Amino acid sequence: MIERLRFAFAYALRNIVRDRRRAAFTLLSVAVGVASVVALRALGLMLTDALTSNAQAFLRGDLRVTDTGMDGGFVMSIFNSQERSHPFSAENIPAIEAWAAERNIAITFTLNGELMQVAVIGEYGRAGPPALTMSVFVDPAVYPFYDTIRADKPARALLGDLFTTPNAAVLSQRLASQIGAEVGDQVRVGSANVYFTVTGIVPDTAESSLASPQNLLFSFIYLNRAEQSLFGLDDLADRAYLKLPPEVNPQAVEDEIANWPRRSDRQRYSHWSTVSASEVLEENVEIADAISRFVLVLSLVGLVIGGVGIINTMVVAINRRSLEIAVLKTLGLHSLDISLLVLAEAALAGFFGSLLGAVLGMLLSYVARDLGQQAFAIGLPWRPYLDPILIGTALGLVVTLFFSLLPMITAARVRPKLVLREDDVPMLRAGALWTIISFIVLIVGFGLLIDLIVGSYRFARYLRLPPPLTPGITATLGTFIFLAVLFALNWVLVWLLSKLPSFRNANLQLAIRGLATHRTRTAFSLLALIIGMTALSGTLIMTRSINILLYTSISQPLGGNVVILPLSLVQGTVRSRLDSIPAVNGYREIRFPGRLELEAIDGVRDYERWFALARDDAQSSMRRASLNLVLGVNTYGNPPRGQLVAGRFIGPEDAGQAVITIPYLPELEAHGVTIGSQITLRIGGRVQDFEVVGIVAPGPSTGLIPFSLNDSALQVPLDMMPRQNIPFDFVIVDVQPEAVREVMAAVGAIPGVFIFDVAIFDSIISRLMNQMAALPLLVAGLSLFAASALIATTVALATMERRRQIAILKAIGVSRWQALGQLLAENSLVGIAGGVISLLPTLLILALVPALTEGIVHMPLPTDLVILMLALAVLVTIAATLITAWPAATEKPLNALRYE
Amino acid sequence: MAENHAVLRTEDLRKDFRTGEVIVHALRGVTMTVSRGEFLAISGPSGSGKSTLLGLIGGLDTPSSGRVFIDGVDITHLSESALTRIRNEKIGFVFQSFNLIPTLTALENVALPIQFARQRRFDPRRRAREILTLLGLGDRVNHRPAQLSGGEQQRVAIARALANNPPLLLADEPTGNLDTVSSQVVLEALHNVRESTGTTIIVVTHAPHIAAQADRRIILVDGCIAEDALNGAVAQGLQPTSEQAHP
Ligand SMILES: Nc1ncnc2c1ncn2[C@@H]1O[C@H](COP(=O)(O)OP(=O)(O)O)[C@@H](O)[C@H]1O
Ligand SMILES: [Mg+2]
Repeated sequence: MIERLRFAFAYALRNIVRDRRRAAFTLLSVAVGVASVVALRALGLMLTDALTSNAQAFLRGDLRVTDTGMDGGFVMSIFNSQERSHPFSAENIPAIEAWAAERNIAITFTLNGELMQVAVIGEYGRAGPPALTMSVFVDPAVYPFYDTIRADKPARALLGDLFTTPNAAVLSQRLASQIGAEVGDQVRVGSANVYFTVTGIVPDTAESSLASPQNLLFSFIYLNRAEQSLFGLDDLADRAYLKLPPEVNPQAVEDEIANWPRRSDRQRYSHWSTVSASEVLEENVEIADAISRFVLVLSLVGLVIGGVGIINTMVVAINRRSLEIAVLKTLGLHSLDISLLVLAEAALAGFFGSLLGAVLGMLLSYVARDLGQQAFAIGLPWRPYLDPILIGTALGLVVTLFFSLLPMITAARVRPKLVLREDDVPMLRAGALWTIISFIVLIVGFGLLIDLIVGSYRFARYLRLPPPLTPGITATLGTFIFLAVLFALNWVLVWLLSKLPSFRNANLQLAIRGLATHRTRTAFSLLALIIGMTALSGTLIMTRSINILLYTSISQPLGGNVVILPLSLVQGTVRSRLDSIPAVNGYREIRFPGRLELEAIDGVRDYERWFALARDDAQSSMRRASLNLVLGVNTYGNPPRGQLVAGRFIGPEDAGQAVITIPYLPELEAHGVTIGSQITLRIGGRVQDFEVVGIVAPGPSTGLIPFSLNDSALQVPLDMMPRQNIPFDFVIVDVQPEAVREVMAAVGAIPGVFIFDVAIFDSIISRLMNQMAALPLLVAGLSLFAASALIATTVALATMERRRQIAILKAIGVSRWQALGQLLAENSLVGIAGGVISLLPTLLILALVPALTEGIVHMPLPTDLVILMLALAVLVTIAATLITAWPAATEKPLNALRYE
Repeated sequence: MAENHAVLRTEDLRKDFRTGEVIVHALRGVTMTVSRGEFLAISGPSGSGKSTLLGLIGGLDTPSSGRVFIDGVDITHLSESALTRIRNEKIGFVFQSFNLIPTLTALENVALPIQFARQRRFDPRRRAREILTLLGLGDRVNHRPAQLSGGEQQRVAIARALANNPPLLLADEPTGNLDTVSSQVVLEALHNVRESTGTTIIVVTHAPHIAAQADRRIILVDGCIAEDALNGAVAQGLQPTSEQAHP
């Protein structure tokens, strides 16, 4: 037995060496799958490391106490500024510090999430365009407990060392690049009337978005807590980090914190929540575990595509050696002996392929790390992990053996009588029964593998699956059936393609013949291409479409490209500054009401019933909802958008008049509401009638929100709307695009003014979408890579088989490009077909969204991306073709003819 | 020769091939007996069923009807596994296109059947070297098939067929791919083998001069034995008959 094994391996090794090119493709098929496993597994480990290796560092303390009333920082602070009280107020903090000192607990407070405007001060004191950023006020001498924050610039400097001078500011990488700041620059920060000096730039991952979700949206700036008063923030804080002496039990401290002194009179919003390092650890272990398992299962996609490649190359190899196998049988080798030979070859390919894959995977894990840092906004450590290499190699070996089952059976079933008809060796088949058996083994094996990785066998009981079906097997079976159906469709498609008219074009004719003769193999590569391309184009197109949708939903309804939020004190200054800039086309002040209700329309109080008929009609309830929004407006040269159906818009001359414009709604029209009708509003405690002077039809909007701020709300003159909780009006400015920066800088210099470039929404949304798409993109990229490897093998096999044909073509005077032309034409057809098919699911989803949302949401179609994806599919196939077929096409014809 | 000495006997051997609607009667009842140590040549026109007959004798295929006895054992109803053993121990095959395993050296090719024997009777490498030397290839043992001439390759194939010292050697047009000089060398090798080992040899051949050097020749026409004669005195008389078979 040992000797047979030895022979089997020696024979296999020689076959690999003999058929180097084909063996290279088998290895590549394995390697691609293993590489994706190794890379994604390493990513999972990095994440686990980052999240769980040091929970205290992650939490930046043994305990973190958060002011929950302040959650959501900026947004909440606008709407609650007058009614909230802070638990970590100037009054409470000394008491808490005394409490901590008594127990020998180190404590530091931070204030996070106040949105501030930052701009670089250039020559002659001119400010550059500002950017909005989250401020993080810390005590640099002690923050953070347990973790170290090191700057990128100056390289490796500690955060504490960057705050040795007064008025120092440390910027996150993203903020620095947004405003073009360098170390040493002067910056204006928020409402402070001194300039700050940039003393350092830290990585974006210094403040993890897992701990502060706002960081997903905004960049941040570190400021010294001691200088909070420069911003009128006194000694306010929203977080406390605690470092306990070793002998203190965190749980006991947590209990005590519940009874922290609250000296505030109004306790309405003074809530806090406490998190301990051990709780964070528990949570993070779960998160890391779930993500790593999920990511590992995703990587199996690569392995499966690789597996198809293995079947593909091995079956062809066996077909090429069928005569040899028949001879071995005439020499007295049993079917089992033959299986052993194939198995040995698969094992060798699996082993070496896995090694190659492990190396590739380690390199890939570097890319994966970048994407992971983007996706989780957390610093990930990279080191050469052993575990992914072991798992990857083991999985690669197992999967190779699984997938070589079919070739093995095919080889074992070679009939020895083949030798009698040497020149007429038929296509080998494993036989229906054996094919089914090997598929069952494949599905069960793969399913159990998934169960093992995901740990889903634990859920088997709850799912109530009949005994042989575990969740993994069910999922695998489902996938296989799905793939089988897809494969069958592809086969039909290839069959149809092979029936295309050739228009008497010799290349096209040969290409179509080629398709016709290798339908199964072509269908396989089409399948792989479709899987890879669907994943890639699906992720890209969907993110892009949602991106456009969100952008148009948020910025388009504004009807301007710059938004200003001036405190009412400086509103006049802002107005005059805007009036002095010629590039400003116009602007509009909008006041949101605090509490305002629509009482009656034309004296009818239950006007809601007008919409009742169509209560299930989502569009109708959206229309009804648009009546709930009443805006105060004041227009300066920037005309309202929308279509005037009747009457007029509200203008400056309406100041102080009880007039109103209403949106055009069929339900209102049906009940005779028109110019001159009375709209009764309850504003605060007061009821007032307004006369309708205009009816405005919404302008066309492709956004998520079917109405925009300009044309669909009820609108009254600005001064008819009492100012409520919000201490400022929104000013929406329409600026000529090239002057946006100028306006930002000019108006941003006024203290007490927030100014947004509307494009910031686009960049925030894009960043969010990129973060969410990062992991799917990685997997999609890997599977496309695996798919192109599979296509390359298919082409390579086709080329090898057609070596003679190519040689003959060249012998009769066909150029190498013409000889290649046939293969190129053939694979371009496959590429186009694959590209089109892989776009279908995505396009279908986009097309179905309006129907599913009753016409409210229309997903935009990014045509440029669609075309790009099509081109990519063709490009991938052509590249795979050229790489593999080029040598054959350039070969001396005599060589190939003599060789056979 | 007496019946109990027969190394091979066939009884009314028939083989039909069905390709779609058409049924080809490749063999239509072949009955023959071959004695131990005999050198038999089978010839006949292309498509007359020579290869089919050889395949049935060697247990590579099963007949539609009729029986094949090797050393008195009926092999027509044996399991695949038992057949494999017969092929390994009782029969050696030689083919027109040599069919050596290209990745293995001459020595390894020859050693192969010994390594895979159920009961090992020889030391694979020593035995392989012996036979190769017997066939005049003592200095070629470590060459790969691609490094050997056609005649040498065919002699390696013969050596491989003889590795387990089978009582029966079957060769299907062994000189079909060779020039006359090489053919003669291969033929001499076959004769040597017969003399030194007493192996029974059945050669399918087109070449009249090879058929002429056999003890006995059978001519197949359309799946039937048209002529079955001993060579020697009658050899001259038989020659025209086989020529007539090729119109
Ligand atoms: N596997 C097969 N399928 C169909 N027909 C076959 C098969 N093998 C042989 N034949 C047919 O049987 C006849 C005899 O073939 P063969 O024994 O190869 O002839 P020979 O070796 O004498 O040239 C031929 O007509 C051939 O076409
Ligand atoms: Mg023949």
